[in-house]
Amino acid sequence: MLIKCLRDDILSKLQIVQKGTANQTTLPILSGILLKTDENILRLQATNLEISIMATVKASITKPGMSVFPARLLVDIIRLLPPGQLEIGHDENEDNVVFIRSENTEFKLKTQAPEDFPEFPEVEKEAEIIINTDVINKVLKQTLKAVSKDETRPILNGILFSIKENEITVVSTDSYRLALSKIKLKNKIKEDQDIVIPWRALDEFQKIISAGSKQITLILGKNQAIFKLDDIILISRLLEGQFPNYQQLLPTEFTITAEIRREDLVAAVTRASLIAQKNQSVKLNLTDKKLTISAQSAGIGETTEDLGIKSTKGTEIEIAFNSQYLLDGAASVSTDTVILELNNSVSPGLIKSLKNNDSLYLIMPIRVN
Amino acid sequence: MENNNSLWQEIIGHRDILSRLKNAINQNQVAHAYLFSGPKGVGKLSVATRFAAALNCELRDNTLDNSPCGHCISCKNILKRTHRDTYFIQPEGNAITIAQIRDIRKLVQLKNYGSEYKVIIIDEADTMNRPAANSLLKIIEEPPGPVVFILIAANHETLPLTIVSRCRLVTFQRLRLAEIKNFLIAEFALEPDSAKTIAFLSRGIMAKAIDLAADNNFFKRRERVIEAISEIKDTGPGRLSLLAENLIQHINRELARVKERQQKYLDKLVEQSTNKTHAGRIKKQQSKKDKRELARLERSAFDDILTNLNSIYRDAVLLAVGGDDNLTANIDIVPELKKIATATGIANGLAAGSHVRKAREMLYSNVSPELALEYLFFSLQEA
Repeated sequence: MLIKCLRDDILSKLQIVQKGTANQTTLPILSGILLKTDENILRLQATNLEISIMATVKASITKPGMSVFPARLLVDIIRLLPPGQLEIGHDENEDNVVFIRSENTEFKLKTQAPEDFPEFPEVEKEAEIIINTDVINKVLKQTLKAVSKDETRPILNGILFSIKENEITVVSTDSYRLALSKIKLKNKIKEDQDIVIPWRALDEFQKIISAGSKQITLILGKNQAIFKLDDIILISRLLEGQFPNYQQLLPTEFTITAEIRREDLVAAVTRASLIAQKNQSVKLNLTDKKLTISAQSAGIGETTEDLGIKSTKGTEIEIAFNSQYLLDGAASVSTDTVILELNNSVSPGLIKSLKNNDSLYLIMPIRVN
Repeated sequence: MENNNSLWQEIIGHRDILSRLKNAINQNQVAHAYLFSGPKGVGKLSVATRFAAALNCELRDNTLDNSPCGHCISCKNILKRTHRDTYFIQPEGNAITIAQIRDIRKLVQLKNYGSEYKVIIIDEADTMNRPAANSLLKIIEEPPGPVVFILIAANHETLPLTIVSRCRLVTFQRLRLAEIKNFLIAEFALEPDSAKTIAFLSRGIMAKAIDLAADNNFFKRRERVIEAISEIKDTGPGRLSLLAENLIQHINRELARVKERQQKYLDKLVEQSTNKTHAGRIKKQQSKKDKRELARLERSAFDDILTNLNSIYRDAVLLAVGGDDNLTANIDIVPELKKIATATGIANGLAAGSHVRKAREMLYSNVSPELALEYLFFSLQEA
């Protein structure tokens, strides 16, 4: 293999693909990035057996072929090289040696046989969906917060994509809170489908999104899901198992409703959480005129804050929430006004936007004595 | 059985086990977890690898014997250990750690890459420590999706009962003499008599038989042992020490060769390492491993000598009581054996056998091999 390309072109793509490499693994080759020539582009590939990422770089190909480069070293070297043209290739005279050359610099690196690099997974397409970047970005931002990082219940380490006709319902939960977002589609999808995607893959994809264009393509397979953003492809394996039935968890009606300015709520809870450190609760007292937010911690102190509310329905209530969870919920609403719906001090509360039910955040209260 | 090149056929012996595994595939009754138990070196891992290949072979022919084809991409990758839905776990250092099991747990939760089964082969599963075993228990209990665990253990009694009870137990026996003998004749082009000798000495352990057959020194070493035996009776104490010394030097020469090979490999590893700290770590780890290998080889070389001695005295007693030549272990050297038989006699031959046993016990209770050997020679002389 021998190619020429621009340092800035390849660097940005390498930094994306690098996220797909494995850190510590029984298969050492997975800590590498595969460079492979194709017509007049260079393909970059990495996989950690859970996710695979591929991207392309414009390059002039002198000699087609493929090589595996140690990922971190390759990215570090290219980052530290001056902008301009690079020459990357396989050493003719020595086995398993690759080189990177810029104008005055040459690096030679040991490598592993590219034949041992796992092939990029082939996916049988079952459905193809086009989603606007800002929509998927918002949905991921909301649902990634509520996903469980606890590995005792592996299915909750994923996010459910429930596809029905022309709508995808995206749900995540860590059993203390549940985030739900809906994505409206232009086209109907033939077959209803529920898939669960590991959160790490979605987290990586969300980091990539900002770099790309206005739309992404989501391709669903039987065992894998593919996210495509321009020339970047991320493939994730799906999780085995049944996601909990979230519809059962959503209360059908609420007796108490309050409309609050989002900014006010976020600011007040942030202040209260200074006292309610380390998963301590913040207490909410709702009357028909105001919302009182208070927190106290033994050995630290206490705080109280009165918040004006726009409107309220129902009886007075005292309820406590984990401050961080409440904050995440309030932050996930995109409108200026937040609707807080409650039943009593021991059943879950719901946070949503004024406009519609497209984005819901369910949160379990903490018992107050 | 007409398919002679099939991967099942490459397995020597264990026909009953193979047919059990085939039936499981045929009747769609593959268990979540198997425990392959049996002595080290009889082919548990080979069977496990081929079973994994059979489960996922793209060209598996159910009408034949469910043998994996060996040339489809799936089979090739499993044999090369690069298959994406088949995982091999081996002890890291002395034990299988909880970190390794956690990695497996993570992978098990993910859907397959497209193979029928995920297969997880855990070699030397009896080295799993408690936390690792407990962690494994959780996934073996209710694995999500089609997963087959194959635990391999020489000594499954050391595994927690909670694990054993969740596995289908497959017990591997030592191989038959004829099975090993025929294999050695076919693969190593040995003379039938030499093959029989080695097969006998391997005590049904294929790995041992292969080691002996591949060991050019085997017959030379036995010659020395016979030399020593024929001299023991009528020689002075100085010469006796020398005889022991000679055998030890013979072993040390072999060990020196191994040492050289180890050093070369270590140099290569260090050369390939990315930086100095990395190199240091590798060097430390590898040297530890090398030392352990050397100690193991030294012990097994002495063990081989004792096995040689034992088999020769056994043959001598056999011939002395008028046994058939064909029943001797060292069938290729019957004339020499007969000489020893006349010189030793029945009683002394039997006594010699128990002296050898005693020496072996000493060796396993960490008496230095040199001392054990000298002790043995002096006792043999008195016998």
